[in-house]
Amino acid sequence: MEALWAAEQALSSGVCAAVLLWLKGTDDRWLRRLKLAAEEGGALGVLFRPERHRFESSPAVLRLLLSQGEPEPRLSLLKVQGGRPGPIEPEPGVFEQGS
Amino acid sequence: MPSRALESATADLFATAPCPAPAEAEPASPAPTSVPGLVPDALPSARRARVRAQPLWYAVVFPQLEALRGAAMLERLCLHALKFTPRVSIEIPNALLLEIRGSVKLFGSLETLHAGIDAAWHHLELEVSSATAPSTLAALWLARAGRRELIEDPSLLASRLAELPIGCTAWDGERLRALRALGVSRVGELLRLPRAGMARRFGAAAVLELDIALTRQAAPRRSFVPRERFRERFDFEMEVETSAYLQKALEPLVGRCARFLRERQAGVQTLELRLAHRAHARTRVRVGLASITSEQHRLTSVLSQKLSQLELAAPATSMELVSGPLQPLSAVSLDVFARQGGAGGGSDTAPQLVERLRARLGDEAVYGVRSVAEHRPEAAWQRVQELRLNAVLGQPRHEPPADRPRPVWLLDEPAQLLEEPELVEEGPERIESGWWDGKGVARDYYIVRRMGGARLWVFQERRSRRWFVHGVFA
Repeated sequence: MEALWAAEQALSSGVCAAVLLWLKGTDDRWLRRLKLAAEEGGALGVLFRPERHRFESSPAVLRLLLSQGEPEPRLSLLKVQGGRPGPIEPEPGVFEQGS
Repeated sequence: MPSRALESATADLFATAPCPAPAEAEPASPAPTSVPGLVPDALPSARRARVRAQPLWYAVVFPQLEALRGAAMLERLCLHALKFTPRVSIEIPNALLLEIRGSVKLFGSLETLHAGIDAAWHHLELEVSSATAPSTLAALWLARAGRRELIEDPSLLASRLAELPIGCTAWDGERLRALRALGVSRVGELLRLPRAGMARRFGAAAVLELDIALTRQAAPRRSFVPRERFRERFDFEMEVETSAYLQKALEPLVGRCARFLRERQAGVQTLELRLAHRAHARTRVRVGLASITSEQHRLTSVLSQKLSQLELAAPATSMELVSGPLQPLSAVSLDVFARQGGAGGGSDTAPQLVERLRARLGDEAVYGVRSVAEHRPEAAWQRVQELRLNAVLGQPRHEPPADRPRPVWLLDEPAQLLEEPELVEEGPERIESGWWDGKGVARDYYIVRRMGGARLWVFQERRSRRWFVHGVFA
C-alpha cells in the first residue's frame, strides 16, 4: 500500500524520470492510478510482478514476460499498443550485458 | 598621541599571531592618523581591492537599553537594521553589529550608509553611538567609547584603537581592575603588553579578542539573527473534530506564516502545529521539511499530509502554528536546479517530493545512494540522508572497470550455496580487502550460469571454501 502510494507520488511529481516498483500483487484500480500518475508527471513507470499475473488485464502500454529458458531467458510481449504480442527473439548475447 | 612608533611596536609584539596580518605586510603604507573618517584614496589599488574584500562592520550601541528589556528589544531593532544588510548580529546586552561591506556601493559611499543607519535610530528616538571598522570588536569598542569613526583600512586600526579607554572592551571588572593596577588604561597600552604574559594572566581569550579587533584573527559571528518565530493562534468557535476541517482552518494561518517568512527573507525547516483540547493534553504535530523554505504550497502540502494521518484524540478548541527557527533562504537556488531535473509536466520539485514521502513513510525510509571507491561490493555504496540531489548526482562516480562486471542486483546478505556451481562463465576475480575495519573479506568471485539462463555472481570464501551467491546479473 505504502509502496504504491510512494510510487504514485513519485510518478506524478514530474521530478523523476523513471520509477521502478517491485510488487507481489496489486489490483486494477491501483494500476490505473499509476498509469494516470505516470502520464501526469511524464515519467516512465516500470512495475515488476510475478509471472502469475500474466493473464490479468492491465492498463499498461507495454507488458513483457521474462521467463527462464535454455540457454538464455525468454522474453515475450504480452501486450503492446499498436503491435502484436508474441515471443521476442533477442539478439544473442543481449542478456550478457547485465542490464 | 598615537604614533608610528606605537604601530611598529605592536607589530613586533603580535608577530607570533596565528594568522598572518595582511595589513602589516606593507610597512611603507602611510598612516595618516589625523584624517578622521574614510581611508584616503591614495592607497595602492591592489591594496584597496584587498581592503574592499574584507568585511566591514558597523556597530551601534544603545546606552539606554540596558535598563529596558534588553534582548527582546534588540531583536526588534535587528529588524530595522535588516533594511541595510541581511547580516545583522546581536551583541548582548545593548549593541548590534551590521556587516555592511556589500551595502556600501548601493548607498553610494560608506559615509552615506553610516549616516543612513544612524538616521534610522534617530528616527526611533534612540540615543546611540556608532562606528564602522573592519573588525567586529574594533567597531564595537569605538562605538562603546562614543567615537563615531569610520575606518576601512585594517592597518589603521591599531593606531585608532590605541586611544580608547580599556573600559570599552566590556571585559569584566576584575580584569579591568587588574589591568589598571598594571598601569594599563588605554587599548594602545594593552596592545603593547607581551602576548605570552597576557595570555597567562588574563586568559587566552583576552589575547584572542585583541587579535580579532585588529583583524589578525577571523571572528565568525552568527550572522542574521532575527531569532523570531512565526507563532499564531486560532481559536475555533466550535470544537473541531475532523482533521479535514482543521486543514481548511489552517490555510490562512499557513498563508500568514509564508508571508511572515518572505518579509524576512527567511525560511524554516520545521513547523509545529499545536492543538488544544478541552480535557486532554495538547496534541503536537511536528513537520520537517527537506530543505529550508518559505513557500506556502510546500508548507501546506506537508502539513496536510501529516494532518490526514492524524487521529484526533479529542475535539480541538484552538490551534497554534509555530515555526522552527528562521534560517536564511539560501536554498532557493537548490529548488531552481532541482526543477530542471524534471522529466515532464509535474509542478513539484525534488525536495517537495521527498518531503511528502518522508512525512508519510518516516525520515529513514527515503534515502539516496552514493557509490564509494571500495573493492568490497557491499561497502561500495552508501545511503545518504541529505537530499541535495544535485550535489549527490554531481559527485564523481566510481565505475568499476569494464573488465570486472558487477551485477545489477546485489543481495542484502550473500546466500550460501550448498554445492559448488558447475557452469562457470568468468572468473575468478579475487577481492581481498577490509582487514582494517574488522569486516575483512577474502573471496574469489565467479559468474556462473544457472539452469534457465540466470547469471549469478557467486563467490567462494577462501578461508572456509564455502560458496555464496552475492548478486544477480539478469
